[in-house]
Amino acid sequence: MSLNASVLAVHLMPSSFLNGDTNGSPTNPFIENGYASTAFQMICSALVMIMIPAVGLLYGSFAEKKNVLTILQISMLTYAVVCLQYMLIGFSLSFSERSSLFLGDMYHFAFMNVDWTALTLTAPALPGIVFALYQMQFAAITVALCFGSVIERVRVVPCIVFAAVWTTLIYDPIVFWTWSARGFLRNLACPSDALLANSPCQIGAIDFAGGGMQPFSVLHSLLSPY
Amino acid sequence: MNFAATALLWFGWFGFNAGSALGATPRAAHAGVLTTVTASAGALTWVALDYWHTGKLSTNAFSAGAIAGLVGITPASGYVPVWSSILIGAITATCCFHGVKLKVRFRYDDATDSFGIHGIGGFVGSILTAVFASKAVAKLDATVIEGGPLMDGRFEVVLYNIVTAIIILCYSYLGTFAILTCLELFAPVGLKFRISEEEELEGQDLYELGESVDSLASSIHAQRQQMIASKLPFTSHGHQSSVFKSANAAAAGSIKQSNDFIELQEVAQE
Repeated sequence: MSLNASVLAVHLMPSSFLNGDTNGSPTNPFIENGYASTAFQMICSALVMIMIPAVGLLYGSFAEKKNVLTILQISMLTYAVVCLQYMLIGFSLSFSERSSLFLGDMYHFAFMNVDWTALTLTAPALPGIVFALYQMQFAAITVALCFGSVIERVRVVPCIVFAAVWTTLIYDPIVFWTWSARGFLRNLACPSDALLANSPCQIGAIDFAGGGMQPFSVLHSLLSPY
Repeated sequence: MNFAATALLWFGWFGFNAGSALGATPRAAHAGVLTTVTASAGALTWVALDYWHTGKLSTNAFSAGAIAGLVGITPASGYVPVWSSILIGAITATCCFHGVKLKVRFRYDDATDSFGIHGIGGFVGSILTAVFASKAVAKLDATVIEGGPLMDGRFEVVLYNIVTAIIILCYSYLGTFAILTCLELFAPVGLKFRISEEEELEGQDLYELGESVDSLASSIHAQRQQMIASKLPFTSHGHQSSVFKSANAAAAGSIKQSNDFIELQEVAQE
């Protein structure tokens, strides 16, 4: 049994290992073969998606029993709306690479030109379509989090309208500034370089997974006048 | 429910942070480790603080602490060394623990402590990211950054992150306010944000969705009882099938509708 296992192990090893050239040794970085990143990113998209009903459950747990279904419904309706918005214009506004410092253009309107080619400056390891799927889930979870402080106080339909408008006017520009290759916050040290065609310097604010997006939760203090 | 939600969020947050590496790289794995370590540190800190104040080990405290930790590590997960994640979790949870009390002090309304945890946690996390940022960690997927004050002796990045946090805060605050003001202009055509008093009393589920956690189950149960009592066969001919259809509609509706159905059934029997 152990013999078989060791024979198998030798067969599965990359040839570089046999030459004493280990994949992932201190001197050699991991080499990716095939579509590892693509698969990984699709699993991550699904993991982020499950956070949206989870946010509904979390906020529901603070609510009275008679309002719980509404909160779950708001989180899922918002998800559906934002997915459509992101497919149509959101992705283009937040990640188009042919644009200014402040907002994307309509190059990727309705996921046009989003295919197996990578967005080379933003996510070089991924096909554009996988990157777009992942970012779509991100946009949806952010908007779902948005309603935390206003549950049990707002009606459903205005929430849906608000979600569509808010994600277009607030979320997409902020994403462009902080994550997109040419965003001005990501290139704070060298805004003039960022506009040049090939190499934005990308020295500026660092934000790995969007902590800077969190201040939206002041929503309720804004809503109080109404 | 709170517990299930926290568990699902924690689970999903692996995708959130590790996925932000945008590739199956060692940096993604690093982010995944930081995610769970920080959430643990945050949860323990919050439970300890809460225990110190109340003498109880609350599950709500655990959830709040875990989420505070997760929020705090979100901007940092691909930039800081592993040891610092314990500090980030503890600091963020402590700040949020005191932050959620601000709503009593300043008398704003926040149903789920969303600002106390996400707002303050995000802000603190952004700044801690810059403080602990390390060249070596970003290099895990060959990304080049300048590094922060503690690890690489560079202070600029702290400044950049503070400026960024303030710009985003102002933009989202003013922008959201503008959107709400504009939408409120459409209040007369049915886009009134705030619920009416009537709705608040009746409960949003019944008032807007026409269903509720209780009535969904109970109306189906009532309908079955009726079916059995009246010995209606589940066939598809004549008026009985239309009764059956209305029974389905009633099942999806409220208690009120299921009463209508009972009346309807009586008519059908005559």
